[in-house]
Amino acid sequence: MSFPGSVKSDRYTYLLLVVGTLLTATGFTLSGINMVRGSFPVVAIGFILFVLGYKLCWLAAHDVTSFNEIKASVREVFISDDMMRELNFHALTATGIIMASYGSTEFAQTIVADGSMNPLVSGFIVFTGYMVSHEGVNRVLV
Amino acid sequence: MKAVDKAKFAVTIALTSFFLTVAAVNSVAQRPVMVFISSALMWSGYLLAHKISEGTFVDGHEEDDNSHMIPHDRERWAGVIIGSLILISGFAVAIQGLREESLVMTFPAATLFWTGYIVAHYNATDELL
Repeated sequence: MSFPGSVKSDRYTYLLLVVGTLLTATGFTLSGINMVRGSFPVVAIGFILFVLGYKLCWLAAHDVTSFNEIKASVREVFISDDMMRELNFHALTATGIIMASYGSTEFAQTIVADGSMNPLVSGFIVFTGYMVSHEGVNRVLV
Repeated sequence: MKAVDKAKFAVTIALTSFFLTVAAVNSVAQRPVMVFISSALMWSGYLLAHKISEGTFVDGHEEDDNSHMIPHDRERWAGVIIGSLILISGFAVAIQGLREESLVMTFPAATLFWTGYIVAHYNATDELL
């Protein structure tokens, strides 16, 4: 598979993709193992790691060519010209992560314990939470 | 999309569904190393499928572009809702397979999950993933 741009650009693309994928897999592992144990807060931490891994892969897809560009992009997440607008998006991200963590923990409990939530309801909460946080992270619903 | 790319996309999504199945079954079985490996492979499958269908590894919208924030019309909303229902039905189908820690019984649920995701995503953005 070939990537556009220089060798230097390719190296950063690969680096970001590998680190992003490792973070994503770490997040999924924390979430998956702990939704079965019923540890909602650890599930949420796992989904936060997933979002960070996703964002690194997103940077890789946007022709980031230097470490300074990565730093600038990360800084934009915290310091922006329009702080209120950014805070609203962060609030959406957080709300979605809490919903997805709650829904997936309830879903896992119906499998391994005596959880009573209908899987259609827990699935609805998980995917709605996904869309809410996706709107926060990526400015688009899915 | 060319026929050969459609085939590549379908195979990659099938593999991604398989690795989701492995990750879910091993989560229930509490085997973290297996969950990690299968999650990394699932995510790699997603990135590869995205690259095949859209040319980039993840969504390419610029942050300040608000034109895609939410679907504009009723047909698109209907498509997003139908896709969401297919995805959510995967949760109900998964229950028995996961209780028995069965890859074969859980795989159809993972396929429903990704099929629903693609239907919802296509209707929201005109892109498959």
